[in-house]
Amino acid sequence: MGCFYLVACQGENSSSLRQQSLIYCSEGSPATFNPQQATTSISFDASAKVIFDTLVEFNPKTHEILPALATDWSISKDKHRYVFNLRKNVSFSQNKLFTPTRYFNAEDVIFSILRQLNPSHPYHQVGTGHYQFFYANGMHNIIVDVKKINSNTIEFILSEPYAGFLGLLAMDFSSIQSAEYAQVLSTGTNDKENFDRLPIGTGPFILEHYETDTFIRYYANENYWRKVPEIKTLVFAISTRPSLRLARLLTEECDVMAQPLPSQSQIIAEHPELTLDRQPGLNVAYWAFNTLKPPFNKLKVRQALSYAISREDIIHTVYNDAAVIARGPLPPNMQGSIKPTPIITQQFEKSRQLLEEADWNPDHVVEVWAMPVQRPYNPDAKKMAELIQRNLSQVGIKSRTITFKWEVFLDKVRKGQHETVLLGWRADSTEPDDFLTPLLSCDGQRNGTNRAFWCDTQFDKLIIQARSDTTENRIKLYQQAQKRFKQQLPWLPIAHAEQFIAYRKSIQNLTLSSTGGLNFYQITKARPE
Amino acid sequence: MGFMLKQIVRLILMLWGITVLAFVFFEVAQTTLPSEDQTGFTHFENYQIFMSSMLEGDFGTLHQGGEPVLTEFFHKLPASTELIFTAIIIAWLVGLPLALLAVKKPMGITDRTIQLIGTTIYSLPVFWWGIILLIMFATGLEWFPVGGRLDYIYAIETVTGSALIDTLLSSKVYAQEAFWDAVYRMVLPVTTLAMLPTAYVTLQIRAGMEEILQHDYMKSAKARGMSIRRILWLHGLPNAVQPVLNSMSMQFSMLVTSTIIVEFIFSWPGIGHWFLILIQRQDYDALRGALILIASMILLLNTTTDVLRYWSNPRLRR
Repeated sequence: MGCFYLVACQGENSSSLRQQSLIYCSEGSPATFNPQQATTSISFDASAKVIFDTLVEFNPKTHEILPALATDWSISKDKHRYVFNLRKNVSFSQNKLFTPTRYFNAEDVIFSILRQLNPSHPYHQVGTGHYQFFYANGMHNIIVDVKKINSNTIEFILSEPYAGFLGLLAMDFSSIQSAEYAQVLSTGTNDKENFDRLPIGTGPFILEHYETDTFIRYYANENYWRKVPEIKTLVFAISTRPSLRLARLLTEECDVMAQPLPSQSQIIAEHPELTLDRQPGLNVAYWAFNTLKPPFNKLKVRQALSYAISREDIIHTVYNDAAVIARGPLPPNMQGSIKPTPIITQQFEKSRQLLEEADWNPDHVVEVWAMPVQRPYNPDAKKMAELIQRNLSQVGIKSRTITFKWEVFLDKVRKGQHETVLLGWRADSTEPDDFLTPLLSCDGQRNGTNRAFWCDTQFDKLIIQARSDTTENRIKLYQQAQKRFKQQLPWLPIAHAEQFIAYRKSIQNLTLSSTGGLNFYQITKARPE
Repeated sequence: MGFMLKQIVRLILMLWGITVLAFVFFEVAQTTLPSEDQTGFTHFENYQIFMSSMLEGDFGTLHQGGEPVLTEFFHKLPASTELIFTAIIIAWLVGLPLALLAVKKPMGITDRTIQLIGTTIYSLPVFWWGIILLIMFATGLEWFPVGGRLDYIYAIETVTGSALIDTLLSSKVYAQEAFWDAVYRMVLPVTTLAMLPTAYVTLQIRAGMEEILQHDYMKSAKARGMSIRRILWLHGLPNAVQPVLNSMSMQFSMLVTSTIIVEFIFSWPGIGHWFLILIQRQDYDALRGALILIASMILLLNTTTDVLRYWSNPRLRR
């Protein structure tokens, strides 16, 4: 296909060009190319693993920590000090504003951490000035200092032993940026804002051009410190409508399609030239009750609402059965997750009885806030809200759905203006703390990532203990924490969604890690017959 | 001179009117729709701020990305103009001969067929035609791509913003292929966009010619033995084309509206596509700026065509 009768374009150029290009139909426009400031998977996908590297990284299958920009490391006996030896001869890419004069070194690590940590850092306010993941994961409390020992050795000093620290350094927000580039942009007539708009990293690809809301083009980094990617041109063809993404995949305009809808899975699976990958995702969709707002501060109200809901119906209707019922906040394939019994099921009688005991005001209209966008953990929050409303009306609770545009929605929820909200979380690692601290801790309550605004001293104590515990006991502590969650029910966990990706059969070595996100640099393309 | 002055005053008044309308619409939208924090200014103060920043060339910034709306507008404009101008050229290249063909034998079989097809096209909405062409030729037969302006594998530097011109100017080895790819990708969107104006040109000119042929001077020319082709080309056409040309400015604003729809259907990264994305994101500040820019562009074009018509037509000038 491609060239109809208009021209003879079977010329060698276009076919070899196509052979070396990978077109990825992505689901939206990135808000930034800086993974430190990214808040959505769309922005992470377009920046982190494509343009940048981290000190250490996860094995996509086993989740063990592997060296990356750091070749090896040692941890002091008291677990307060981490010393990393940095990889030598790794170069940053260049663009029209910047040509590096030196290799990657300790200065770059210090810059990347301090930019996020230190509010008076000259680059802290550049871009949005918000480092959501850095703070949500408590990095500002964990890291006391980061010191250069020599240009290829760096030391982190921690406030407390923290078992998941290496995992945090493997996350996208810990991507390493160039201190030299930052310095160049601070001088003369240069604009610091270009630092994140025209990013420079050590990663497998180099950003060539971003045509707003249309496409992003990257070239392979021919000086990449690992094997240079076989794909020479990587394009993110931004196609917000799922139907357009599928049409482009079917007509060979795209090689890989992001986020197929559950309803499209059959078409893709039955197509001879397409592959559909599905795997359980490390995510959770939940219905959070704002525990600071009466009547949701009452446990019985939260329980009554939960017992009214049929999660089976939700899984069937909203996820097209491509999800499992969530029994707790942690996905089943994550270490430390438990299957609490008895599982909450729809029981109208019990729900009504609890309402009565809680002195429910029948005139109260419950606000169900539903996010306006499709997310990996929830393909359709509005439809989910409709089902919930129907269930609530069956036990005599009045309710209404509320939604705003995405940024406003998140902002208002962060400020705690909602009564109940349908949201979710996608993991960056298999570390339970990555779920429990931002979503349910008192720290999370303060910075608004804890959407239930639930601050329970008993729960908090358990997860703080688990965080610094490096023994087997840790898992037990997490299990106790989840039991406490189950008792208090700050949210009703709804589902763990499966992850889908669709691609043409010619694409090889495409890996979808369970933390979400694709690795593009290993992809190869089979030659057509 | 009086005419020019009047035109300029009218233009300024209308531009001002647009700013007021746009301001009121979005001010109402901002206050009734739940949205970000209120600033605490009165409406009038807000309008003053809005006007003074616009006079300084600040039409707002995009919520996502933070680019100035003005820069983005001029960046997206060429893709739309390319579509619109090609559609206009096609409309005349196809419409004119069809009209002549039809009027050669009024109410003959050819004439009736052309009229029937013309009316059918004219009475169905643009989005319907777009979707039908897309389903038939792109997703169905796979003869044409489902959207986009250039195959993603080609990296062509932007010089003029027109894909056709830029691919021709490019020094890349695949520049020529890219040019043909650009042409090929224009087929469906341009066809969709050109349908209405083609039907319009055909029907209008046909009707005009038929009327002119009834005039005595035409009848006498015929009686004097002039060939029908000569009569049509030399006397009929210039008179029939004039009113259609006069209504061009009206057609132009209609085309801009159609472009928004066509760009959405064929994922064409122009002004319309951009405008719809802004609506989707509910980026009101940027939308207001974009709306004013689009409306001003149409107004300026209308005024220009009016002025040109005035200068080219001796009867009006006197």
